[in-house]
Amino acid sequence: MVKLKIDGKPVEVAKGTTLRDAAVSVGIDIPVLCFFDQCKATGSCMVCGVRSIRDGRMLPSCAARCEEEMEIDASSETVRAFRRGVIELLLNEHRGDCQAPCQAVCPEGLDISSMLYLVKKGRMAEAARVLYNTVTDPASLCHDCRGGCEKACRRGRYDRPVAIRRIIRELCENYPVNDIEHKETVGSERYNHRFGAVTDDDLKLFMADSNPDSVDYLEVGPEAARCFRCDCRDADDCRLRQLATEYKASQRRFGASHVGFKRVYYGIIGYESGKCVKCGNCVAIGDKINPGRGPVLCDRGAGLHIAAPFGVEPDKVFEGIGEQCVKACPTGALFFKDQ
Amino acid sequence: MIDDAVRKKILKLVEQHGRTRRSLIPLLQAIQDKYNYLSPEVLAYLSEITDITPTEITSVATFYHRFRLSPAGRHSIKVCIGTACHVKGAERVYEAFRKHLHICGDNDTDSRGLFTVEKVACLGCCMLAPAVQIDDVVYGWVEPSRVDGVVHDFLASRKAAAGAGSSKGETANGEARICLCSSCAASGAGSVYDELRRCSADFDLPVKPLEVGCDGISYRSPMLRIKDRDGHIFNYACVTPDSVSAIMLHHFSPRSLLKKAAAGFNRLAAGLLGDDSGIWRHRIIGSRDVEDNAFLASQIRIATEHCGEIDPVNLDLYINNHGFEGLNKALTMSADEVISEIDKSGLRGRGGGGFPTGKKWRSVADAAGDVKYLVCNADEGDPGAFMDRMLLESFPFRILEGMMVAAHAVGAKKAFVYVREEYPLAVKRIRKAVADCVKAGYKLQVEVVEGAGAFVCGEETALLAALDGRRGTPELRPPYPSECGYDGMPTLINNVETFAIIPWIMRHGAEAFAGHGTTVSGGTKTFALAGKILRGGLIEVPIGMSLRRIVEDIGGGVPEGRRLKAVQVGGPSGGCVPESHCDLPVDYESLSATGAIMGSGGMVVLDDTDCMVDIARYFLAFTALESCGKCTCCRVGTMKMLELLENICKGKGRDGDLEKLEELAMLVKTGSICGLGRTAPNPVLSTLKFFRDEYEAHLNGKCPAGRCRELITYTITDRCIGCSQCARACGAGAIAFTPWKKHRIDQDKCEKCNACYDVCPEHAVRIE
Repeated sequence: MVKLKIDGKPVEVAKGTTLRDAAVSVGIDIPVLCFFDQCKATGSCMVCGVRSIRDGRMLPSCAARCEEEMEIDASSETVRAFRRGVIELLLNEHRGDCQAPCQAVCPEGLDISSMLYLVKKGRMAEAARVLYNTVTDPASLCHDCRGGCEKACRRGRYDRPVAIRRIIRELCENYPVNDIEHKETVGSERYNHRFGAVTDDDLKLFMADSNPDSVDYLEVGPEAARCFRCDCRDADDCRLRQLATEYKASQRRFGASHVGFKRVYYGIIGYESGKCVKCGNCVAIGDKINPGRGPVLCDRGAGLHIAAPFGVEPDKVFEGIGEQCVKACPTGALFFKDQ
Repeated sequence: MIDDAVRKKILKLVEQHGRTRRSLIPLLQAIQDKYNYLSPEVLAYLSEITDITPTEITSVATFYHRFRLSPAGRHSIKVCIGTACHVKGAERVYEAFRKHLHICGDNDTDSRGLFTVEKVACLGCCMLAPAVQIDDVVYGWVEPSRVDGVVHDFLASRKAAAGAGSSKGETANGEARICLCSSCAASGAGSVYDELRRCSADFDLPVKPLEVGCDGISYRSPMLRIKDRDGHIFNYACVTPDSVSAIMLHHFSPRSLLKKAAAGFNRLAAGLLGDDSGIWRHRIIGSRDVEDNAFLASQIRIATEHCGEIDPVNLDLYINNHGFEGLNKALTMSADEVISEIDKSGLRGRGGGGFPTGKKWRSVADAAGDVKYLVCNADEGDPGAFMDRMLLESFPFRILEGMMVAAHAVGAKKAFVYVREEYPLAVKRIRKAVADCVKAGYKLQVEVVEGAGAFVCGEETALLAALDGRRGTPELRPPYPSECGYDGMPTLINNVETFAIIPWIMRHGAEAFAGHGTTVSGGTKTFALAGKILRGGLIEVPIGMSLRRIVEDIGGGVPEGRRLKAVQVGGPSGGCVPESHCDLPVDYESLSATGAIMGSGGMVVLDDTDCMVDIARYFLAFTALESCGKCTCCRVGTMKMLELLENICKGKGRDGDLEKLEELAMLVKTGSICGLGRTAPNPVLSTLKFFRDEYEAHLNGKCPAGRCRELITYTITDRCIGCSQCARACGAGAIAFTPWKKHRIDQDKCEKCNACYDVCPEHAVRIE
């Protein structure tokens, strides 16, 4: 057994216990980001940092082990400021919107891209539910609105914006509000990251994912399929977003982001390096289940990213591990192409 | 797809190096040596025929900078951007090479595929700054204007067949000693040595050309030491191949009559041409030379004992000069006694951390487990440091002896030497020394492993990962390598210099060693003294000597009437000690107090033309590039600090930037798990502490030292005599060719390459 003090509270735990587990056992909450219980903790993100009072060093509490007579500060303002700093660095390295611009400008905050996705898939009733859950009376509200969503639509920079209001009208006409079962959804607090300037190259990346057709007024489905899906698929349970909100972190305190936007598909899995926190969870899962042929951490320093290894078909990298990896990914860097 | 011939060759390499992950890095090195780069097809094939998985290959091949994934030119030009080279304008040399070879954009290879131009962190030839390595040839003092000459010389040397005469092995009673270590070779020692051999064979002189360990007097190299038949030593400095025959014939006369006549004729001819006095130019009159006396007098040779006297790779000579006496003595003692002796000596790790060596040995010796390993950390990556290179090249047996003592003390049977791959000669010599020791029956099994270009691998857990064939990513400590290191077994990791000191301690006893240095840390420390200094080189001084004595007495101070501004100690983990603090003793504690660290011992002297913000930016660029990327604070924090510093250097800094820098520095310092991240902000913090006014001047759009390109302008003053040299030197065509009239610089065209400033004989170019 090892005896130590966390926030002044004496703790006695078995040898080899991590600092975080010890803290949790006496009711002290420590946030985590890269920690995933099925992988070996590497302590890379440092969001779970705690301070060793004796030498002033910050330790990743998810990976560091308890030692005899340690004195740990896990909740003071210094530690919180440190964590905020770390989150701000992660946000600075982050490139990708939590919400698509259409949703960001919508006075009602309607999740337009999810709705369009359902329309595209022909799941009209579900699409209508998304609509009614946020906008109480879309038939009149959206009709009278000046259509900020369409003005903000990124597709508009390429050819013309998705005809969002027309699709909403169609939904309202065919699926009246009374027919749709109402369900409460829990939305997270608004915390919005913007891409900054999207270059023409970025737009091309989006074009590859969507219906390239720009012919006027087709059916609703193909029109909805023109949506770029430039929102984040993990917006509601992204841990980075939750932490950023909790710690009131600012993305631009340390200057503009130095990361470019990139989206690559590995079979059914999409990867955006700009949202990746380089925790290596997906790599660890790959090593366990599909040894030697899973995703791999490439390069180093600021260029660190996930890629397919040489000699392995990109489509097969996430074969059999895709679902676990998306679940283990603390942000929306890994996502299902079809979702 | 790859063809059968390639497959066969790769199969053969696999047979040579092995098929497990531990052989991965040597395998990739061998493939790259053969094909210049690693193609994805070859890597995919490699995973098919070995037990190494595609993920392991990919992660390693992309991590280490040595490996290229795109084709390279036939020859590689590596421009050193180490600290000493940086302050002497390496960036401009790099640009000059690119310009000369017409390389533009993101390319690094010329259109003919002949040369690839790259930057390299440090070649360890700091006194010859700026240095450039083309394939295996190192060139020193490469000014931008010399670039085309260097390229031509290299191509010519490739064409010329190497044909040096061989000595006949008859009775030789004289010696001509010369050091051929990397930095001496870069100043031309190789061709002097060839000429020596040719000359002694042609004239049949009773003299043996002898290769010796470096004495560290880099500012005099190539240094030729003649020991004549009576045993007198004559020193010649800065020798060139054409003066070799004159020197040799002055001291020795040919054995045969016919040759005597030929030599007589030769001397006569030289005399008629008025060339006979040429040799006096190079002559330093033995130990009476004031300058060298000052350089050598206050030094104490422990790690560098017998420098400049014996052949570094001759085992017999080493043994005749007290070699292995320390080991023999250690073997008569118990392991515990050896450790106590080291403990008593007060020796602390010379790699940078300064951890007491005895304590480290004790913890490995006490650790549970039958199998234990020993690692010699020779991954000297600090730009501006070359002690480990010199020691490996000049005293390989001493290092091995130190390792054998350590192996006896901690009970290890197998050892590794992890050497930086930028030091080919060091690798060659230590390999040779290991082979000789095996032949002579020494039992310790030593494997020499080459690094692959990653500074972070100097960190012990990262080094172990590299030995294991993985990415060099540090792990959280504890557990320390002394409990769980290579293969999960207790492993002792010490620096080259630490091992090189051990034999002396064993031979002379702990008290003798502790007698030098301070009460807290005993003994001597080697430093690589370079930068803006008259006499630079490898020095070894007792710990606690003041920085000013090192710079002024040993180094001879700053040249050209410039003013000493600061001394950068400890490379990218260290800091700048300002001139006002130069009286402090150089030991672990005093340096830490100023924000610098002892580090591995790089010392770069800076004068008043060096911009401290630029120095901080330079080091941050280095660490940001070398960060492994694991910890958020180091990966993003160093990047953000670099961006801020770059903006400040460009005059785009804003109020509050300095506070932001300090905040980021604290984040990186406290929030990184390894030494690289924890010390990365030191160059910024120490310059902010002592030279804050210079940062503030940059915020106001001025660079007081006239260094930062965006903040300075070149103008020509009335001292101009209209010689038009500047107009001819200007690569950008910014100076009109107007002979006999005062020249004028077109500010729109000026690239601020400094060429006009360098050539102007009247010092009429002003930088503001």
